[in-house]
Amino acid sequence: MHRKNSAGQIISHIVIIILLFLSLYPLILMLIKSVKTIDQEIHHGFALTFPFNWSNYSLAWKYVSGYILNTFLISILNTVGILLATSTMAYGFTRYDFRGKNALFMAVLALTMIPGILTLIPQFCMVKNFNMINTRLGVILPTIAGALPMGVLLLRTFFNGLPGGLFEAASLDGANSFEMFFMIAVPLSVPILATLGLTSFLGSWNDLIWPQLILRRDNLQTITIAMTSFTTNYYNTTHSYAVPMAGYVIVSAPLLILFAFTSKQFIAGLTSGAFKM
Amino acid sequence: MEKVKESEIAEQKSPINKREKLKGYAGLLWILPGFVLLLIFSYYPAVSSFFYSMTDWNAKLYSFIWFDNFKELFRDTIFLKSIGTALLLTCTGIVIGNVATILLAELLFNLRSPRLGGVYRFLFVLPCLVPGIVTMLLWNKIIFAVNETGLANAILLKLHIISEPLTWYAGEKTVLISLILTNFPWVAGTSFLIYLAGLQNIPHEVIEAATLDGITLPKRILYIDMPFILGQIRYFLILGFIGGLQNYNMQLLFTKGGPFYASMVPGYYIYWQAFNNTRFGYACACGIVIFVIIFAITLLTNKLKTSEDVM
Repeated sequence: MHRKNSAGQIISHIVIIILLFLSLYPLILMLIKSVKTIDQEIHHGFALTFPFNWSNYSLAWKYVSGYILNTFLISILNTVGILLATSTMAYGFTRYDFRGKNALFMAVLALTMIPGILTLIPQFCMVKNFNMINTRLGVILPTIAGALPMGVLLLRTFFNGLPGGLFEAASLDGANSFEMFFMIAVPLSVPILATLGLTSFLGSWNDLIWPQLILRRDNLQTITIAMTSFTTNYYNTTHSYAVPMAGYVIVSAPLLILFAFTSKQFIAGLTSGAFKM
Repeated sequence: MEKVKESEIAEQKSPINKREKLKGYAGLLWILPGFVLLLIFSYYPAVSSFFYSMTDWNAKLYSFIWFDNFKELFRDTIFLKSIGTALLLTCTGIVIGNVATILLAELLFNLRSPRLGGVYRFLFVLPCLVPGIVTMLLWNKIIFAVNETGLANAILLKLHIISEPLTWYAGEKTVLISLILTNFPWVAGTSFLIYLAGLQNIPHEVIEAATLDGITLPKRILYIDMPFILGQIRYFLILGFIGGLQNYNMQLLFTKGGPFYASMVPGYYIYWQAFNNTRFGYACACGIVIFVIIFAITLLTNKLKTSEDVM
């Protein structure tokens, strides 16, 4: 049987490699173009050219470094905010019993039915009325609110599965509610918190609409907004994409490097979450 | 699920938890911070959206015009067409995207080399870690660039399939097909991992028994694998539909709904009416229509959901 299927195995490998090549080709092209001089780009747009022109990277770095920092800051603040708000709320919903709890939970759950498209405009006006245009808080608060219902649902299911005996033992030892949260609930929920944190981080890292609406000032902008204008402006003056491509490589690098070292946990985190909902 | 219920019952029976129950309203303190945030940034906007949809709000002043917005938008050909466009983009996107990712998951599942399988998995995840904006810019400026400097044009010209460079995103006739073709072959990301995990959860005995019975691979995929990953498929269909209908990233950054409204989708139309024409009330009314459509679809899929709990 082994031999019979080995032809199939080879075909599988070939098909996978073709798919892989096609999926990665845009990134390969980005790398190739990022080391071209303007002249090389005009004459050999898609082929590898020598010598590599590394100075593109130092030019691009000057432009993008500030935006990378901004994007990281927003993404981390979003992630921390989402984790804090969802875990405390889910804890309240699982460890306590009081009248109206289920009604309250249903009210939170109902929000998962409200599409962001419906609330975008009133939300924006609210941020504006709070004078939060051009502040990071103006991006972070609506983002946390948007992520809360799904996050609470995810964490509540997980918290419910935690062994109740541990909490009982802790309360016998005189631990208060805060201690139980930080010493029992949080440490035991690291896998699900990691999943939620990871998806929140990736979501904010790629978010387009809120940063674009709120962060108008240049010194606050994230890469999503800055890269577009950088590319257009640079192309209009030089007719070359080489330096913007170097910029793309730089902004892509942090997450790719992180992934290279943590891919196992990363993949486990991304796959385990979806089906605990 | 069983286990959870059991532990919940056990919790309620134990005396210690009764004591905890006494100070039960302290639970509200844990819930409150998040809930206040929801009140301000979710409940109030959602409710006020219904209110403003009946006004001619321009972000500062408003007066009541009752259902005039809705009367207008049901005659608004751009808006009505945009719904069709979004449905077309979403449905084709879902079908080709899921077929492609399931195909990849099947290929990886049937591999007999775990080491290479791991390498492939790693490499297929890479593109989704590149910032979305970079991918979008690469497709816009390099692959589907309008002149012969674009990769797609260069290849097609060289193969003599076309004699003039195509306009891609910039052409009224080509913009939709270009949007669909973006990210070809649509497999990279993380959803193939979830399908793969689903396939790996199929009990070994089932596949072994079927193989001993001489089942062919296509038959196995159709009659064994598919039923086992039905939950995942449904999950991605619903998620893809809700997300797809609201997506307007490409429109916001590049096409601006054009040319000649050919790529206009409701999400961008709402954005455009509000922030370009300052017709916030009208934009809210459009949002309500999309909400109703999404709500109806969600209810329908919940109804279709069979009794067994797949998640």
